[in-house]
Amino acid sequence: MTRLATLRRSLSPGSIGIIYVWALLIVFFSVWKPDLFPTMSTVRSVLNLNALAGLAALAILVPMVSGAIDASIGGNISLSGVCCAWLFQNTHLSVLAVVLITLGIGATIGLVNVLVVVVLKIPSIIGTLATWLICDSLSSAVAGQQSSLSPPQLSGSFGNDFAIASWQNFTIPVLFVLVLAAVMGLWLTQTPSGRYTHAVGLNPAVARNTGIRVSLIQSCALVVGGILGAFAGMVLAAQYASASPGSGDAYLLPAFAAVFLGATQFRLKRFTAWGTVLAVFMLATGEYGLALAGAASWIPNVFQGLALIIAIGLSRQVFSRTARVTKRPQQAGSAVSAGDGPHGTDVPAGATLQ
Amino acid sequence: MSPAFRGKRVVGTAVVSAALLSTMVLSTAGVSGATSTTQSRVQSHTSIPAAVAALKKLFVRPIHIPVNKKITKPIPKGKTIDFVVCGVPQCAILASPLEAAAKYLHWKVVTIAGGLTPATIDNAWNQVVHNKPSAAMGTGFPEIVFSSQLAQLKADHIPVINGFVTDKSGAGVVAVVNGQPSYTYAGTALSVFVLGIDGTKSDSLFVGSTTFPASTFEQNAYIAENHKLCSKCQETNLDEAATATQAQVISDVIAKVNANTKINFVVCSQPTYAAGLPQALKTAGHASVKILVNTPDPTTLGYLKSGKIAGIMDVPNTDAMAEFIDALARHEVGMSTTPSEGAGGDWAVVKKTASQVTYPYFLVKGALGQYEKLWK
Repeated sequence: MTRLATLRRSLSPGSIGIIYVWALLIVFFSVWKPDLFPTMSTVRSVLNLNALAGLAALAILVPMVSGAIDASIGGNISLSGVCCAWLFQNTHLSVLAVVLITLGIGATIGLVNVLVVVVLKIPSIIGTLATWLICDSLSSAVAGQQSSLSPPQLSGSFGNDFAIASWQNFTIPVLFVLVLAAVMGLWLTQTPSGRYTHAVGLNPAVARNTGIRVSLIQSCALVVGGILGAFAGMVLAAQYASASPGSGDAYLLPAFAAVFLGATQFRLKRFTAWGTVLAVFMLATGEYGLALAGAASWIPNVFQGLALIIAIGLSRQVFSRTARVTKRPQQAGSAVSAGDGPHGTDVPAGATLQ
Repeated sequence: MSPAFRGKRVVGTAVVSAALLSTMVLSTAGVSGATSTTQSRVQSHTSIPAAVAALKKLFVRPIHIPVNKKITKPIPKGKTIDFVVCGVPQCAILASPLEAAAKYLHWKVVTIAGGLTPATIDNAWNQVVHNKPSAAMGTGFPEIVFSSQLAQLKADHIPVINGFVTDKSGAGVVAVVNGQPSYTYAGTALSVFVLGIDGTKSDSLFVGSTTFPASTFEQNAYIAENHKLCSKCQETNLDEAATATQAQVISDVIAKVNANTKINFVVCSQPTYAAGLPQALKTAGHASVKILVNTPDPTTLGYLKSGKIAGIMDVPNTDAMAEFIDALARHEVGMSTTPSEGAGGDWAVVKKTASQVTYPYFLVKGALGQYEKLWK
């Protein structure tokens, strides 16, 4: 394939459809609301208001790359946030100690998921949903009869470091998302462990036969996801200067939507950090544009659902055609051809997701 | 990929995208028409004396409970009350003051979680029917969602006292506590706060949810009072879905304020709507927009103490739990429950008075003691 053909393929709508849809949305809303939409205020709002959704999406990305769905993210965010607030309210621990303990809680949630998914072999979607329920209930128990915990530290130095600090009115969670996406992107594509994780997610049986320790990789992925979920919980607590039981639940579905949508992007059709982040902000742009135009509160959700179906549907069609063309000389049997698409988009086939 | 296929795909994509966007445009056009934005006139910077005077009264914390009629007959002891509590955090904190009030009369409260879904609510009220308590109480459940159980309870002569709803008593419900009058009063008080602070330059955004009838009453009262006291003032409504998350609410509010930069006050009909809002407004470049919240919670109290919001309208939600007991006591002795069903006064809490508001947020200090005197 010539360099030009490769470039053309890389820039095709089938490869980076989100960017085209994003551009279309920007043009559309800029024409519709020329005085309101194409402003720095819109850029800031889209990024600032959705950075947490980006963190939640990145938290579930690692387990999903390894082939395990982590549906406990909502409960993890809630419990971590509430525990963080509780520690500030009821102890004299330093900020660093509270941060470490909270991340430890996230790691523990990850270990519980390991027990359920890797050791007990319970399908991850079911097992981690159970963990979610347990975490959510525990967050209510920790909060006691309070509807929320609001210790002053959450709006003090802790709040500043995790949510309020800003540059040009872009808040620090936006930086967290960009840094995390860059680190995860590099790790997943440029390191052996990242590539092993992809291999486990694509086909655990083949990965095992090639000597990769599948259980260890999935366990590490679930623990890393748990820690990142706890980090998102702390950012949520800092952003709101309070923590409420169940407050993380709202991030579950948008996180999955972003990860699945992101997986339809780029040539390899895999779960990727940048694809996920692009999907978060593309969906957020559409929702914000509609809100700016005065849409009723139900319309953005309809938009999100339709955008997900259309983007994945179109990309899957393109991928299927491309795969048919490239598979012909190879025949079946290669690790990559076990599924019909990226890890997530072939859920019904069930080959790679536990 | 053949050119023909590529062409078809592009056309298909364009058609789907156009259809999607057209739907959004048409829907939005219809909905934005329903948004009640009063047309502005020339703004002056004068205060509104009536609002200022009314706000001055609201700044004073009520010292008397709204019920003053003593129960003259002996109240029976040993009653058991099944209390079905709704699944939102604001409801969860109501069980403990109800138990505290019931203790004064040596009554026992059994709390039953009602959740939020039709199935959980149905199960909870079925349990009440099964338990056959002396009386049943509920917060936030419109009669229609447990009408069959209500009929059964009526047949079993078990009185039901409902609260935090806009239904009226009847059909098995012997009294409605904290009902329509309270919400109308609350909406009026919110308007008075905004107009009392901003005067005729007021341009407010009321964030509510018409899914909840009580919020509609508040919102209507808010608009009516705004129009009554200030024909020049503007207000815009933001109707949030019942399922809206904090993040969605914040995004919607920021979009509204970005779309109308004249908005200078955001009125949150629920404290959850305000969580994270001060920071979001600040980073969106609207730090000068003031926030008023209806009902305190730990988060909003923290905001008020640190000066992030302008005020909290403290409403007698916790006090109302003693009114439930008062209403049942009156019913048990054959007296009218009307005194227990009136609206209590609200209290406009600002930064300097925020420290006086403490969990579990009784509006009137020593409210339970005052009720006890009515019951002796």
